[in-house]
Amino acid sequence: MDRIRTMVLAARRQLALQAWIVASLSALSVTAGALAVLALERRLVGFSARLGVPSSGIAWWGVAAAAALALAGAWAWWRMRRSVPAVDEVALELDRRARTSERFSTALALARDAESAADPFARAAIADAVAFANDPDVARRASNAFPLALPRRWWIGPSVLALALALLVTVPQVERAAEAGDAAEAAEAQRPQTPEERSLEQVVRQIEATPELAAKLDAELDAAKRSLDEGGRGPVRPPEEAAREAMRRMTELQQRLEEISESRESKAARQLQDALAKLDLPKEDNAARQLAEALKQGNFEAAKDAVQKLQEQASKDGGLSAEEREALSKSLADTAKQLEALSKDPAKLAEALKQAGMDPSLANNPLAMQQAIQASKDLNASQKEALQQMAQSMSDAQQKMAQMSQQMSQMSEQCKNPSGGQQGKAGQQGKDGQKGKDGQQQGSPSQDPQQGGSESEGAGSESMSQMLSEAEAERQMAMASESCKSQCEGGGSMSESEADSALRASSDGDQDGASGSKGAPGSKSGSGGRRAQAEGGTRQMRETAFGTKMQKQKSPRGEGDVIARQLVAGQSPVGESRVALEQVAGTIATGYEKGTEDDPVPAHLREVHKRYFGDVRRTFEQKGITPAAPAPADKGK
Amino acid sequence: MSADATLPADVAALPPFDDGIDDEATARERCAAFRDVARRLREAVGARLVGQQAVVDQVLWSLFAGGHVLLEGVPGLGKTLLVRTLGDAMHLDFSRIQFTPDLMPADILGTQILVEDAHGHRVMQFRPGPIFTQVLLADEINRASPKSQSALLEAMQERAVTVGGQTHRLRAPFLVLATQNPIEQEGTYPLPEAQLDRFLLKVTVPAVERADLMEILRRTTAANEPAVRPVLDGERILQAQRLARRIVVAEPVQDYVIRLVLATHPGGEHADPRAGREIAVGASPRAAQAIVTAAKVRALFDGRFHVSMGDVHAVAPAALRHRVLPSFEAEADGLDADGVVAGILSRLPRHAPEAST
Repeated sequence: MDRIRTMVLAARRQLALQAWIVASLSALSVTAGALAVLALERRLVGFSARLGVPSSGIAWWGVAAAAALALAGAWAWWRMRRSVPAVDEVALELDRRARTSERFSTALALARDAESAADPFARAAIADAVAFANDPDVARRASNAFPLALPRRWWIGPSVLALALALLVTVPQVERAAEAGDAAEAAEAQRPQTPEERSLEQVVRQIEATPELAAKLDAELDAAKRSLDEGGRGPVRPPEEAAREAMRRMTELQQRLEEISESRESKAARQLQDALAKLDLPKEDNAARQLAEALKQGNFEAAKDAVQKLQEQASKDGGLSAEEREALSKSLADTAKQLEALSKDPAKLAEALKQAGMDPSLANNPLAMQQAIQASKDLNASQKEALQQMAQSMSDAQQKMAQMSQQMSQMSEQCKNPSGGQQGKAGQQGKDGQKGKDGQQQGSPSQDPQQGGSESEGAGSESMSQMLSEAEAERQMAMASESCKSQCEGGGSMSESEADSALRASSDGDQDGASGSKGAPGSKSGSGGRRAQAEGGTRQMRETAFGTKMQKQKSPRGEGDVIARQLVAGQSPVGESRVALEQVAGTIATGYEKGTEDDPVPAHLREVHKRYFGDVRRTFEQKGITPAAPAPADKGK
Repeated sequence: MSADATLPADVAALPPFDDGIDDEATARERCAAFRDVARRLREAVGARLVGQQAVVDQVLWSLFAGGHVLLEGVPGLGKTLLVRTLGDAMHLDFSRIQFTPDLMPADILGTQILVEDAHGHRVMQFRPGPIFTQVLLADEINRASPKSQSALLEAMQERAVTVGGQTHRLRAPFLVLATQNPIEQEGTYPLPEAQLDRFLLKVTVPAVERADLMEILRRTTAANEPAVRPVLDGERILQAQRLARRIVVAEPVQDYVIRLVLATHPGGEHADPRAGREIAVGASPRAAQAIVTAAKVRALFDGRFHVSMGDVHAVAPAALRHRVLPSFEAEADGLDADGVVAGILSRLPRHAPEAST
């Protein structure tokens, strides 16, 4: 019986081994298939990368492969344990394969049965089985009955594994997926940015190029950068949602830029620049002319350099002859006079008051003007606010021009008399210069007249330099905010090459400004609406060779065909409805505010709407046409 | 008729097949003696019946298993000759009943007749019918009416006949060998399931082959018919039946037989997947008994002391074909009982987890 048991157990081991081979190959097929799918997914889709699964790294793949193999091995072992048949079943199978007519299985069954021990037929059956087991021919058949063999489809697992490895090696990475904990790679591996995100990123970079502007937009910049970071590295965010988020951040930035651009300081800077553009240059070619030219161009950085040069020339050992000193002093005095005159010129404010339907002469009396604006019944709240802001900014600009004028007068005096004691005047000038330093000079007169003159001279030019620096900073910020706002309004319409070009130009401009070089203004200008953006830094804004030219032509009005129709509320008209052009235009002009409230205009179109409807309104106001309510249908006309 | 007087001397000198088997050697000796006698019986039958060895074997399995046999085949294939030859070779009483539509039960069982005794009194006396024999040839059994067919039920199962309130035992061994012609449709009455179940095996007699037919012609057209001498008598047959029942059946094989029978039960727990579609009525427990007893005889014939799967597979078609009723769908598909049983045998696993120990 031992022989039979040994044969059956050997057969069982063979069956177990065979089952393990089959299960292992199945596990290999499944594992390799999963690997192939993962490889393809990583290469072509990248969804798992957004779930935080690293895309590369030998260590990670090694651990993953080891874990997968361990799982596959455990599964194969479990399958083998389940697949291995019981001893009786193995004995039956052995009987079948060895063609022993169930002798072994019967013998095993009878050997377990105590009653069979006394049955001579059972004993005879067992003895027959034992004799069969000892038969060399039967033993050979039994040992060959359970050969180890690969399953018919054994090649599937290795083939799939080879395919998976080939995919890993050969398939290029279409979209590199972000990996958790690998920030540098994540920046490259994130999903492609939407046009809106690209635009937002460009705007952020442009704002950060101007530190003063970035400081004012600190919160909004942080939010925008967070949005950009989360779009690429955070949880999976659909492109549509990312675009909407970018648009929200862009709108926030645009609103803040709008506020900055329309702030009192920015408007004052623009007013100052506009006013200085009217300066007439001195005839003599000297440092004073350079200063005036720089001021005329609104290049305060260059003006600061010119002041420095003037200070050097105005000193005793400046190397100038008396005549040259006289000419320089005269040029400065002329410019100072022009500045003083500009600081008192109310023409622009008067023009604005006139356009608002108010008395232009109120521009000469700020207090009366404020009261008149508040009391005006023809202006709405926004118009009143706009007028007041214009007056305030103009007042600020005029104040600055007055200070410049005083400083230049002082410099003129200093040129004329470099060794003269201008202590008192300098002190007085310093007092007006709104600087504590100047005030200190006033309160501590110098014992040495020469020294005192030198100090007062230095204090005047220093105050001028500081003022010019502040003006330059305000101009820079106003220009940058305008530029960024323009880009925000442009939205995703700017191509990447345009944006890069503009950024490069801005960067160059900053470098030029830092080095004090005047450079070639506008050489890096973009086109159209990108002009301000391209002129970031200290570059001067000036007219380019192209632009928009307004041309107005008179169009005769009279009887003619209907050129506009509109839908009106009310009874349905019968026949043809005709309204006068004036009524249609007036309705359009007055309907703007209501229309923008009912149906918010997209951010990038707001400016266009304002300009268009503002022009329409102004046109009719100039023509003395009062906007009328929509006219009822005129059946007769 | 004395059996010992007519049996061969060596057979008569043999010890009883089933007596005194207390050890392995005796078992081997008795089994060997039986196999020798069985071989001689087959040779005796073969001396008169040409071919049909498989049919002869199945009839002998049934004989030594103590069961009745239903032979089915077209006329002229030697069914009657086989039965008659067996009767001659076994030195048993032999009767033949030709079943016809007008056959009455009394014609089979016997009847009570009014007779005068020695004193001149008239009394009812039972006159046994042809069923009171040891080997009964029920020829063309399906041509008799169901009433007459049913007359065999008690005799086949109980080996007794009850007539007029009196039960008359039949002499053992009692073997019914019935024949039926499958192609006759007119005037036939299909056997009821209850009666079919009484037959241990249903043996299909195939058509003879060319070589066999030539030998049949040679033997049957000669002047003298080959003589058959008895090699067994009734007592030896009963001993052989008891000997065969001592053949062991291991639990896995027995479980296989049980699952085989249960597989024919539509809707059962162990039903074959196609049983519901192919089988209208499954086999009864008698089928399992028939398979095991017949398989034991086959194992004994084969010189083994245990039943193998091969024995089960060999006897299962004959034991099941008349107990399994194919469904209409199966018949529509051209599938008869043999086809259904063969399908089950091919699909049934040799081992089931429930049977593992």
